[in-house]
Amino acid sequence: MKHLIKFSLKRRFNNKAIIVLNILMLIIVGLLMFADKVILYLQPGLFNPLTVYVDSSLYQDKEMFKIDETEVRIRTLNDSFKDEDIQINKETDNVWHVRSKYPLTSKETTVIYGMIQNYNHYLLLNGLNYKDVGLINDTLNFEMVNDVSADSKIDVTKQNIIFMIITSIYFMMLSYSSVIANEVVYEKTSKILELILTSVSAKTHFISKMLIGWLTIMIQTMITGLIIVFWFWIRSLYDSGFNLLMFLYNLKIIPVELMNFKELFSFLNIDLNVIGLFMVALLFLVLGILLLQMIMVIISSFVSSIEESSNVQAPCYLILLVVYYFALWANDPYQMSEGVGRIMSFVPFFSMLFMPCRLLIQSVTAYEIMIALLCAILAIFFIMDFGLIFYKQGILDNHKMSKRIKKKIAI
Amino acid sequence: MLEVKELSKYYGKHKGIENLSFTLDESEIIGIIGANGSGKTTTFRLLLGLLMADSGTITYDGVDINLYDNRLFGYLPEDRSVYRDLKVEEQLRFLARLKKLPEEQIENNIDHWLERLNIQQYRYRLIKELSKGNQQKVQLICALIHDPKVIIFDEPLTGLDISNVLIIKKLINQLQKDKKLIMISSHQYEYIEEFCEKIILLDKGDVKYSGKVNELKKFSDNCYISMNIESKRNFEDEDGVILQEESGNMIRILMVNQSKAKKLMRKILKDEKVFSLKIESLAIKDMIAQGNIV
Repeated sequence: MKHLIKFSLKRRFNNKAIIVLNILMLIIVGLLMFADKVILYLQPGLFNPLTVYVDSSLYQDKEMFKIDETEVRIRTLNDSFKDEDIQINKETDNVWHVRSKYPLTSKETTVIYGMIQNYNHYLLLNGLNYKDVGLINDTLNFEMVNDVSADSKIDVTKQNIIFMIITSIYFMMLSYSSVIANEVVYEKTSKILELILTSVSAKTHFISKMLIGWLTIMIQTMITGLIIVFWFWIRSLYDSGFNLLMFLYNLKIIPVELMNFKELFSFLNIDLNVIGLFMVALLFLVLGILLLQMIMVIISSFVSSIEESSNVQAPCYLILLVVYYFALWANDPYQMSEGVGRIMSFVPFFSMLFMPCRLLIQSVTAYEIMIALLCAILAIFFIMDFGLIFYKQGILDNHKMSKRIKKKIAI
Repeated sequence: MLEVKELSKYYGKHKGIENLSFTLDESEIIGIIGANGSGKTTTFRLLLGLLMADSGTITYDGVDINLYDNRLFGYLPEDRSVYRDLKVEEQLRFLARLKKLPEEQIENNIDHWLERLNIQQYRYRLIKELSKGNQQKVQLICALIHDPKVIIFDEPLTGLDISNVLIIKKLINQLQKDKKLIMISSHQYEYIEEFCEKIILLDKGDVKYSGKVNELKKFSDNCYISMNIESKRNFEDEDGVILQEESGNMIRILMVNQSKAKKLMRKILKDEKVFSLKIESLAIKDMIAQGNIV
């Protein structure tokens, strides 16, 4: 088994394609870590405020539009108006004309809509007495307090993070599910498998394929991790990440101004507890991918040509897509606490998506984690035992089941 | 000695092989012949442990073959079973390691076999860059690198030119002298006759014949007269002639039996100017074509 694994890993990682891919990864991560420099070089005016020209009859002071001056700069039409600038004009009480060279972007639309809304409020409130203004302000600006009765408090602000996690796991599933399946198809169609099986048992071959798949994920993740750490280190030496963090803040990707990476880690609350949760989440992910790989390998063992393999794999990808949308749909506090999301966090394969989400948004008890892990591990052993029978049938093109196998399945 | 007793394998209701029995001693070569789907591959897979038999036993020197390690058999598959994007040396090393040979022995064996099959110059070339014949030689080394006791050749001569056929034939003869037990399957029955003392004829999973080639020949009294004579003429009216075939300069006459054939030969020698003339027993392929066996 050792030689099979070594041989396969060498073929996977010691080839031109993967070397080029990792160099590409190095360049891309480098560009991301210096995204502030790259983007501002390509688009120096990215953070310049939007300049909006208004008719001087409408404009008395900037309080009328209640604008954030880092976002919008108001000029009256007396100033030098350029073709690429935006001009707004009040046609009637309900209609405003916005003239621009190109259609407004969604961000520009939102900003200008807000300006006009503020302007209308200003006019409205200006015609009222002080008491009425206070009344209206109280009516328009109210506080909503949500008393949660459920025991497990859920951090709904992490909903976006969950979306990112589900999407990341989905793409990992897509990328790695067929890694080994394709290798089995190649070995089978090139008939080399028959020769290998005269030296090692089908069981050894099957298990080695699983380990190869698992190690491939680990090694590729490690390479990617090392690349990220390398660029983090470079960026830390350069400016401790200050300009990058400011850039991200200006883009509203991070909500607070941070001075360096150390502050970023403090802000993200990355402590031992969080790292522990990530490790458990990673464990579920690895077990889920292992299970998926096993299923794909067993299915692929029945494939007898490369052309057939895509026909088999395409429906599997569609099923994964359904699972992805299902996970997104179930990503709400109720479903994750006591609905379908909670149930799915114990179901093997689904637990790879749902348990990491639950772990990151709510407190999950240790016994729940143990049960889910046990289910995932038992499923792997179950598939390994029964899958091996089908695998042997598939790889030797021996599709009709013998009585012995039928009997075993019946048991 | 390899002993196979009443070996049967079924795929559901379909018969893979039924009641196959034979023995194979040191320095013996046995030929397994039959049409596609006759059970040759199933037989090899059962011997190699790739399939489990439904009934029957396979023993080597009286011990169940499952108790031997994977170095007992050497297998040359019919299809090109190689990683085409690997170098010759990498392919050989990989399979030798799977057979658990020590590194030093792997190195020696690779040197030895590359030289013996005259492909040492391709050691660091990609397999896909080699000719079909040289790829077959690489595959042959894969089957022999661990010095197996029993060797299974599935269509060893397919796709080879005449010079490579001669190399492989010489090698098989050498392996026989080295006291190997050899099994050969081929559609080229003339080679089977040339190499094998014993044959097994399979048909849709049934064993139609299992025994010595010479014994098989006794199934038919018919024989052929092959000749090259100055003026071709028709012999079909002569006594004992069943059929006359012509191909180029050669005339082949199928005779009822050897005594009639000898009689006709004497007459031809007397009447015709003869360049070559010989009497041959029926080849296996002729016997199968004439339905003498199946």
